[in-house]
Amino acid sequence: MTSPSTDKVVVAGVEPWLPWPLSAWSWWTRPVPAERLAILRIGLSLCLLVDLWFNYLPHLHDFFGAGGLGDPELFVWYGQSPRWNWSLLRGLADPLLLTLVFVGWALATAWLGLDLLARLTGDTTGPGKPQSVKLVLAWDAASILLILCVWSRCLGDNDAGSVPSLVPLGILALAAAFVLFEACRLLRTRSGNESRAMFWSLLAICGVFAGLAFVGMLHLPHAGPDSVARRLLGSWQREPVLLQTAFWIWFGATLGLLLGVATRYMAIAAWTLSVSFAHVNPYIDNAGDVVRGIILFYLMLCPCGAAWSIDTCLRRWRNEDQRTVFVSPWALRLLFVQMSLIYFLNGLFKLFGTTWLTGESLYLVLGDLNLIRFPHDRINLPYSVSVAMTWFMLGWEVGFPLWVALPWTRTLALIFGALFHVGILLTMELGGFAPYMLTLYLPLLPLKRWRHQDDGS
Amino acid sequence: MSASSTSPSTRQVYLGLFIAGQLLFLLIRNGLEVADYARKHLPDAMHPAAERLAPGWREERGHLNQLMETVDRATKTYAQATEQLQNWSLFPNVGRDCVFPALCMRWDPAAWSAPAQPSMPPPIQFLSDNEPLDIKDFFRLGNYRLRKFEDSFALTLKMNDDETEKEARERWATRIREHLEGPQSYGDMIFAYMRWRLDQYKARTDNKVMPTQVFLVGRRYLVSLPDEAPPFASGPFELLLARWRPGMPVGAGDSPLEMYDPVSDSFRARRK
Repeated sequence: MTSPSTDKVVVAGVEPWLPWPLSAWSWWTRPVPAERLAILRIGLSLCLLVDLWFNYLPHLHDFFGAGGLGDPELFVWYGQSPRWNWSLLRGLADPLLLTLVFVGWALATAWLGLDLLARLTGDTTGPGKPQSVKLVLAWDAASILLILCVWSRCLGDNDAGSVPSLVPLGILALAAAFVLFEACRLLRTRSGNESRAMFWSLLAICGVFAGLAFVGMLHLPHAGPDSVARRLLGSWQREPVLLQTAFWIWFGATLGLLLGVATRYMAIAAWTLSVSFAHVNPYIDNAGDVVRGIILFYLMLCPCGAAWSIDTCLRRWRNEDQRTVFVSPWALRLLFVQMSLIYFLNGLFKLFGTTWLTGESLYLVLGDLNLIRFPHDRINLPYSVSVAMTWFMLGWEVGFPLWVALPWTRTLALIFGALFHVGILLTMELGGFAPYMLTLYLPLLPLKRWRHQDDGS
Repeated sequence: MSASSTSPSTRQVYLGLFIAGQLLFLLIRNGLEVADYARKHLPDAMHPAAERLAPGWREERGHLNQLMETVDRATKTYAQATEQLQNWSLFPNVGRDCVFPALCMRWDPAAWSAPAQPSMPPPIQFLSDNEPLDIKDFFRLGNYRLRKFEDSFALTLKMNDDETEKEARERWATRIREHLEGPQSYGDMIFAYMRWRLDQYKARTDNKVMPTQVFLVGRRYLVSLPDEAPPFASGPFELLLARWRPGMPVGAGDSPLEMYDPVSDSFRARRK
């Protein structure tokens, strides 16, 4: 919690410094009640839980396992250069994953090295920033991941050699240099109140890397084809138990996100696994799944657990903090821009098509035996009405940015949008498309009527 | 609720730059999608104006094109890595055809539609779980991910008004070959689907005997024109696409999946 501006109100999370012209636009800068993010989080989590339980779980092996419709060999092209569709499920030997881990590790190494250098040569003698210890932890995680990736590739090639021990030894040498930097700084300052957390954390990780070097030297060359190391580090799609494990972690993270327990970490796990599953079988997803990924991406980066969450309840109980929580609106604004682009682009491409301008589209969609829930006869919509509705929907979609920009059409345009998706949900089997799109409308609900507060939204 | 008057922290600056970058990404990525579509579908009358405004862009050359390609690669990489694909073009054209894949299994060497040979089990047609058994009376709930998968390799083959049956069959043969063979084809996906459906058939029935032939058939329904309805759809119109003979040895470099040739009414080996 930062930047309380009054005794009764607090703004959760980081308030961004926005460049002009965003900084001059109160729509981007004025904080909104944290409940707006919370309702987005809860709505998305509920939809995802239903999706996971009814659409993923019964077909998990069919859609993602070896020998099924998502066999790793079938979609190996989807993660190959020039594509960047990474997935944890492909295993740590995947070249794309290794590239991403290596880039992350190089950045963390450069950052940590510069931070240590600045601390060593800088004039400040106060206690080290807590972020520095977090940076060490991030570097540790990236280094261990890099070592595991290299091990996984060595095991996959059945060519362990000296590489599995050389890589941890190299990283150990780097960690030792970092320890030396920090030791020099501590000796230079010789201040009694100096925090030594960074020194001890770096020293501890040196021990971990030394241990990993021994494992790489002694154990890895003898790992058999069915060894635990080979199975854990290889493709999780080929191991039904590991595929199930990944699913249940995803399910648990989504449940945690719904309840708001360790919300940030749950959102990161849910997004990571959502992307990982989406990228190993792209042919079972539709636009709704892309919307799901986009919402999770923002939830992961913003303080979505600042209201209506167990995290908040615990914080309030511990600190007896009863202040009203607001959040910076940036995530909601970007999602609104995304939503406007979705409708506008869809409308624009429909304008270039043929069946929308002739007014046939709705009639044909309602007759599509692939999509509809029940036969066209049951709806019995007069053709002239379906033509009028086709044109109305086209006008609504292509004009959506304008309708929501004008104050006197905004509410009607949004109500129609919500009804449009409810209509799709009732008449067509498009999976998560309608529920995930409806989730985008949740933060736009008139929350101030519930809270009796004017939040300026 | 005013912003802090002190100078912004590093985190605030990074977050602000990310937000501005994300906004730019959304606008540019979607703009590029529209520009790409416009380039391909620009009416002839607008070509001179496009050439004056953006020299070379329409022929995919020149500085603007070079700049757009660079930005396109960068934004596409970011979109893929963060799963923020921006291909918002849902149902731009709605067709009249609905195709469902079905498996036809035979325990004899006869043609797929021939009557069963004596002392042999009758052929079985195993429909997609998404295909309504009665198109006038059904209710669908769930299974959309399987429908998406089936849709991705469905092939709509029908006769055009301006062609003879021979011409149509030749065109279909080319389409089937392109669809099943080659680096961008759906052959491996279709074969995986056929194996998976056969496993499902065996799991759902008592018949555990491996068929000698498994055919993939496209069952097409046609939505009626408004002045022809009711009925609102007709069909199914069936067309054979591929065959798999489990247990039959295949040549080196060939796939167990064979392609149907509608011209000669026979099957051809498919290269892996």
